[in-house]
Amino acid sequence: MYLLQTEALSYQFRKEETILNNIHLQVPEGSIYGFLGPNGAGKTTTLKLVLGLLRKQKGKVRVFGKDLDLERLSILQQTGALIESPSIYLHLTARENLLLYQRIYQSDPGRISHVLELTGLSQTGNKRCSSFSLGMKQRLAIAVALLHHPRLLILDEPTNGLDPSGIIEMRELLRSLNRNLGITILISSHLLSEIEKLATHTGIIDKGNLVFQGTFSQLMKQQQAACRLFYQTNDNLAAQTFLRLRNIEVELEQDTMILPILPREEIAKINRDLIQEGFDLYQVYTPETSLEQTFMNLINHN
Amino acid sequence: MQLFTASLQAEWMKTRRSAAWWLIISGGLLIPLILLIGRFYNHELIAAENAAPVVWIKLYSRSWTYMGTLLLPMGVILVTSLVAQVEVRNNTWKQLHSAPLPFRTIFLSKLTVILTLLFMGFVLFNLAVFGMITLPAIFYKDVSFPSAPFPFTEILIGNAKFMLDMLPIASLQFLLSLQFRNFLLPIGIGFGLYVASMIGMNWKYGYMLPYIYSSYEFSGKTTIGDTLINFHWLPLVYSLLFTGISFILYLTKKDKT
Repeated sequence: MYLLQTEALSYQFRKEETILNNIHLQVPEGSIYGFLGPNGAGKTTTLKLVLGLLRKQKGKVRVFGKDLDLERLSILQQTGALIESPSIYLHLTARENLLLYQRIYQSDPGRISHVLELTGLSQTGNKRCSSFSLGMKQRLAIAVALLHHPRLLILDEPTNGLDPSGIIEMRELLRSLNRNLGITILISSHLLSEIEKLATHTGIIDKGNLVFQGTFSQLMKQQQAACRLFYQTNDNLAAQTFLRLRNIEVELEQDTMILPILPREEIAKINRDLIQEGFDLYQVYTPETSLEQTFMNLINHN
Repeated sequence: MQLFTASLQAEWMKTRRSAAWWLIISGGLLIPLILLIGRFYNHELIAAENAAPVVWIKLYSRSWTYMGTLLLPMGVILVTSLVAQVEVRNNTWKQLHSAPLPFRTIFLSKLTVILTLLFMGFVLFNLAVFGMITLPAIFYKDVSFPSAPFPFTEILIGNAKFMLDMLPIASLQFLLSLQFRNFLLPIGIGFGLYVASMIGMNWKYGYMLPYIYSSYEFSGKTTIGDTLINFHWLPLVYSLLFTGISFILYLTKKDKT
């Protein structure tokens, strides 16, 4: 079951400028869904639409199986959010900020100390938030989002501005919330390495289009399927003619022959045939496909 | 109702340690304090003043003259903008609008907090004026407490009129503060409208200017132009109109971040 899904979500700021194009986001229950994309790809706009912060133009948003248009309050009652930079009242203390939201969510007052401890802010005392570091503000914003024990956490670039140890702490916190409390997390980032370490599922958005959605292993498989086999011989043109006569699709690019990826046995047979025919094989290889390369390929193809 | 109470409590907490409180306190005390110093300075006049049957009305009117023409409009502009723009200053609109509260509840609770703060300013001002009139009797043996009965009804009506007069300012400032992401813009527009109202004081149709009414109280006119209609209907209509427009604009805003 998808805890959150969008159907054909599209958005335009101006008529000629499409920000989102037909987005079908599917966030499985219990997952950590990494929403990846370069800056300006449409991540924040999608998350704002999911939370009802932007007026929807086209498409549907369903959370917990409920329609956002019809049951906004019931959805928000079970959702915690952090959109872009932390939203906290700087003239108040951390506890006062939480007390304020505790009233709104009408949650258990005991949760305030719990979330302060969970986010490592229990020692901040009467210090006003204006004197907090960015990392502390970010953690307080997470504490606010966790206050009412949400089923779904929507975090837009929560590690922005954090130092490396802060990023690791944040990652550990989110992982433990997901594993121990079963909270589904939708987290956006433009950093692949960050999402790769944390997420179970991913959606990749570029220029307003969702170019991939699934697990990381699916992503790798998809990319491998698109992989090619590269050959360098002493006479590529003759080798191409030789292989084409055996119904093998071959392209020539400068000093390299490019073949589609084939089963290992078939590759061995081609190699044997080429050598028996008198060709010298200088190199046979498939370029390594790192996740980063896969990500870049998806974005560049879009 | 439960949601409104929760939202109201949250909005009230946001005013903690805010400049709005300092404005309410200083705005409520400033004029009576200056007049009290003036009375102490001319203490030989106090005994006769306190003995006069019109002492309450006379000193309340003097206090309201300074308050109504300058401090009240300025204070309302500043307090309304400060309270309404707390979300802009802290970048918290997106968090508040992600909370399970109907938009109308957020709007109403913010407006209620502003009106309550302004009401508290009125109460403080009245208490301070009362103190300004009665305190000298404690310090000077030859000065007695005013012997004339306290004109409760007149003072209550007077306060109600000024409260009504400042409602168009509060409602328009509220509208502006909800629309602009810039803190200085609503305050700048507010001050500009106030100055324009002061300039338009002698204009034939000056009574049409929404920021004029607390000063208009001292113009000697009580009706709208040549008609027999009491001019206090105008601030009431303006405030309802501005609040209605503000509510519609707030509800239909495309981007609630």
